[in-house]
Amino acid sequence: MIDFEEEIKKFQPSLEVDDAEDAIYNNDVPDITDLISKIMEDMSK
Amino acid sequence: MRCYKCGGTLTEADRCPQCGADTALYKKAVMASNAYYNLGLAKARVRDLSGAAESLKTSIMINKNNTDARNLLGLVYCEMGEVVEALSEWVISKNLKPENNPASSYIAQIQSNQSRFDMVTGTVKKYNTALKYAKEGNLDMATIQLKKIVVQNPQLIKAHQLLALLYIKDKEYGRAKKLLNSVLKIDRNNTLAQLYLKEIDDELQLRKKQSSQSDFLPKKREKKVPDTKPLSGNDVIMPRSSYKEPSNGAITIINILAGVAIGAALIWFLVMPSRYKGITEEYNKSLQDYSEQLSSGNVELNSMTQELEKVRSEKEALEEKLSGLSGDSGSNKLLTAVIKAANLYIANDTVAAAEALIDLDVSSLPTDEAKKLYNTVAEATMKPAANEFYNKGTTEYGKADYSSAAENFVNAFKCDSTKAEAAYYAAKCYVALNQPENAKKYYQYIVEGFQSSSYYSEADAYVKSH
Repeated sequence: MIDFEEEIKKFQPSLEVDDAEDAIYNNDVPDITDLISKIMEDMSK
Repeated sequence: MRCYKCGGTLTEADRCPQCGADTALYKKAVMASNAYYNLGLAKARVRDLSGAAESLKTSIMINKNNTDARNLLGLVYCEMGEVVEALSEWVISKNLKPENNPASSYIAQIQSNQSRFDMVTGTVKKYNTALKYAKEGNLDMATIQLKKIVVQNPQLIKAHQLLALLYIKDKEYGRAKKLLNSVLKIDRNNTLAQLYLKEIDDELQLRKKQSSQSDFLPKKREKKVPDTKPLSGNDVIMPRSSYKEPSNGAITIINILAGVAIGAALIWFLVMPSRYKGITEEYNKSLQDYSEQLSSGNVELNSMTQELEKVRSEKEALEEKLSGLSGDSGSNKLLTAVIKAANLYIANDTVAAAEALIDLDVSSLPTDEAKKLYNTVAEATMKPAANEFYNKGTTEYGKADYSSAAENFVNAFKCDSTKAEAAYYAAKCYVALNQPENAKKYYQYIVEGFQSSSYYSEADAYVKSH
């Protein structure tokens, strides 16, 4: 049977307009290509 | 494809033709990102939105510059009701590739209908509030809020899921199923919705099994109930009407007559009193107007009466003044009498001059000159005239002409008030003429002014006896 308390914890707030700007500016996290570039640079050194 | 180091265009070779960097791994990574994008696109085409979102997120995690994946992820978010998330993805995509990017048109479309955008973002904010309520245990408030949200923004899958969870907690499985089915219409393979539906089905089957095990007696044949859709939070339940059509025409006629009677009663009890009230008020108002007019007329009449009285009194005063001037005792008359007496005195007619002055009141004369003239003539004529009248009276008394004698004696007494014998014989004449009042008058003069005279005792006896 569904455990309500556990299920409710899974729900997360949605992104609001006021928070959109921060979300866009904080989006610049490294991706796999960044990691590859970094590895390749380290190997070439 | 461009080199991750210098940005130059790559060829099929594993090295960059410009900078010579090893691009073999990089190319594989980009291809993996594209593969996930293709997977996400395939899932999105069959409305597996949550699956597509996962694939596209993976694609972006491998290559964050994959604008196609970002744009598609934005569309998937938009379809799931997450407009702000979608807008964020499109803004980042446009920032990465400003030219020839469909994200620009998506943003423009969102911005073209600002009111719709405000409404949708408002529902997102309300969803967060409802989630907060639910986590705090305020489930009724959360349910009310979520019901509004699913009406305003039917695409917001999260709201449907949360409301379905609340319904499941309250064991309202029908409503929860309807919400979850609507989620699956938007997102065909939504894992959470499918999980909840499975749990609901299991629960319902368990109940059915338990009820069938407990019913060992043969069941009463149940009526077939038409299949209805499960209720949602927005359905309105109408109470069953108790109204039945009348069976025949007589009841219809009775109903009509009853309606007419009720209508007439309503008019009689509600409309007529107000009408009567209006008429009465109008009558009272006109009556009040007339009363005011009457009272003002009375006031005017009173003032006019007072004015008339004033005019009359003024008229009487003037007439009195006029009579004072021109009447018997008027100033003019008095003056005329004094002048006449003076002329008679000048003409040596002493008796006539005194006779003219006898009945004059010296204090009534208007001027001092007239009074002075009166005194002069009176001093000169009164005494001799008194003797003359007395003598005449004596003669007439002797002839028993009491009337003429009384007149002469009275004139003699008027001319000389010290002449007691004149008063005495005047009284005697009046006694003879049987005029006791006049007789008493002259006897009274003797009693009051001539106590030492010989006539006193007789006069006193007459006054006392009469």
